[in-house]
Amino acid sequence: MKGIVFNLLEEFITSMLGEEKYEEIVAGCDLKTKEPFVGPGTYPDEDLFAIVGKTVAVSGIALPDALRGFGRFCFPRLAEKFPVFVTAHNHPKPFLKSVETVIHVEVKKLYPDAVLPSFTYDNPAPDRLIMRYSSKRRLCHLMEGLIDGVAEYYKTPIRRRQTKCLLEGGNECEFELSFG
Amino acid sequence: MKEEILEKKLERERQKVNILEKMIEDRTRELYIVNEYLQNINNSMADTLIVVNPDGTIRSANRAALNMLGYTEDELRGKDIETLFEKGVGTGPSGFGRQDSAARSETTCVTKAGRNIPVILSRSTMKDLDGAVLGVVCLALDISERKKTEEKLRKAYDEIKATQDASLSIMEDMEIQRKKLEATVREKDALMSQVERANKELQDFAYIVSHDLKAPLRAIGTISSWIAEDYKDKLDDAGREQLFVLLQRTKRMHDMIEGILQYSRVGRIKGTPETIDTGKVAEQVREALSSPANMQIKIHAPMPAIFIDPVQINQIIQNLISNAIKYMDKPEGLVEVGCRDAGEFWEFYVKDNGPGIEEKHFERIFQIFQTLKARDEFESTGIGLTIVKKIIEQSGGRVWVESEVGNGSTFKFTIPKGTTPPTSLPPL
Ligand code: HEM
Repeated sequence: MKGIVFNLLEEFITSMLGEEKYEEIVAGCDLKTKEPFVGPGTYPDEDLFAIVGKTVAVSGIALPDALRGFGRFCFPRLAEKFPVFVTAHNHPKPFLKSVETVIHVEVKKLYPDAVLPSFTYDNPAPDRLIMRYSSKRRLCHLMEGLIDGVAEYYKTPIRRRQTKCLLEGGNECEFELSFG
Repeated sequence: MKEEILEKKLERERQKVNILEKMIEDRTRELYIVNEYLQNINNSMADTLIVVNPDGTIRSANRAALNMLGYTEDELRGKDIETLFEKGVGTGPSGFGRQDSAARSETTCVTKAGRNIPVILSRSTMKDLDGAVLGVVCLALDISERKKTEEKLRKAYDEIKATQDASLSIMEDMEIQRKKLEATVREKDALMSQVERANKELQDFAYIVSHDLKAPLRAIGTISSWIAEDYKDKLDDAGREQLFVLLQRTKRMHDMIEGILQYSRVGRIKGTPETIDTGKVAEQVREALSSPANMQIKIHAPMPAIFIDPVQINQIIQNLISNAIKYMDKPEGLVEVGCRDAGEFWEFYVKDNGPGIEEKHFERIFQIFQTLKARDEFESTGIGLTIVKKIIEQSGGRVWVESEVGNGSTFKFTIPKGTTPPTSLPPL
């Protein structure tokens, strides 16, 4: 996972539990990475999961909620860092459709060693979107949070209903999204 | 506690800055190496590479391109690419739209010095991942050498073609000539067989007529001699004289008919050729002709053996020698017979020291019934040489005379050395 995600996570935990708690969590993780995380760096996924796991343990927040919260926390910050992706659209639907074909493609150019998820789409109605996610990391809760972040950013409510899940033995996570 | 954490955070940020600086340096070096690598490829390329901006101005050119065009990179940068190539590159908004992938064309590029170089121009549009046009990459391949070779090849081909055309027309001419010749040969063959038929008819006619004439002539001769015998007392001198002339003329007539018969026999009757010693034949002739005492006949050895009808060679030699004896006017007559090797032929001669023959008669003496002296003055049918000529010519040879009036004559004739002379057809 790229350093940018680790830094966002640090920001997220600090904002939630304070700097002291964050230092405590990191100190108790026995991370493989000894040096500080920097945005362009690439670090083991285990380190990320260790920090998340420790945070959940320390705070008592459920893991899905923690990931959702993290996703929702991330999105406006990603949007701020890469404004072209979000300003190109004025509605969440076309924006979400551009994640697979444009955004993550550009991310890959910036960070060639990034390991990005893959998405497929279906377009059942103008105000609806079916978005399927697959990744070894199985971070569908993070995705939910990101979608919530998108809804907030575009000030357009998105109702989401998960019909398939990687965590429940599915080969992908399927979300039926309806806008407005 | 708080200060401690702050201290820790600060230290971490410092470390981050160091890491990032190093990352930037590494990345910069990497970029430099990649750029150098690309630059190297660009400049080591034998082909010319020109990169054009979307607006048609030149963005960069490799070393090969600069060498070919004679510009420096600074001079070239920003120049309109369309001015470099005769047929244009097809950049500009419409050009990009139409040919979005790759295209190749043959054109000419104009160097700074104004020289024209034939090139194959490949152009391909350079796009980013979203399909936005970044420019055009042009590759110009100098084909002057190839053009020269093509020109040489074309010339060589033209030459070959011309030669081929010429030989074709020669062959056509030859074919026409051949056809003409064939036609001529056919005509000649037709003519020959006509002549042969006519000859044959003539020979047969001559034979039949002569044969039929002989019987009544013999009767005239017999009756005349009876009259001369039985009525010699009743006839006066003039009558007896006339009867003598009649008998003489009858004999001459008989001899002439005999001559015609002999002559026609030469063509009609074909003996079997054998290898004959011509020296021996001459000896036999000398003995057979009881020549007067003042006549000497010399035979000069060596005389060759030839393949011929024995009767015919005998006829030739006998005729020529007896003619020499017959016309001899010198008290010491000399006849010489001999032969020399004349390549494909044997050339025989019969030489005498007799009266000689005027040149104007050289041809005439070989014609039938031609004698040079009046018959009453000199008894001769004049058919002997005609027969000689006929035999020799049928054998593929030639006969002629060389003479000086008063100094004698030399009759010469040739016989081909070939073992099988043309006359030697098997007897029917
Ligand atoms: C400005 C918009 C976005 C940017 C710049 C961005 C960039 C990134 C980056 C850098 C990563 C880390 C990959 C790695 O380190 O290997 C990532 C991961 C991820 N992104 Fe995005 N992203 C954007 C929007 C979204 C949106 C809208 C969604 C979903 C609705 C999404 C879903 C995910 C997920 C689920 C992952 C986790 C990796 C995984 O599941 O394997 N992203 N993204």
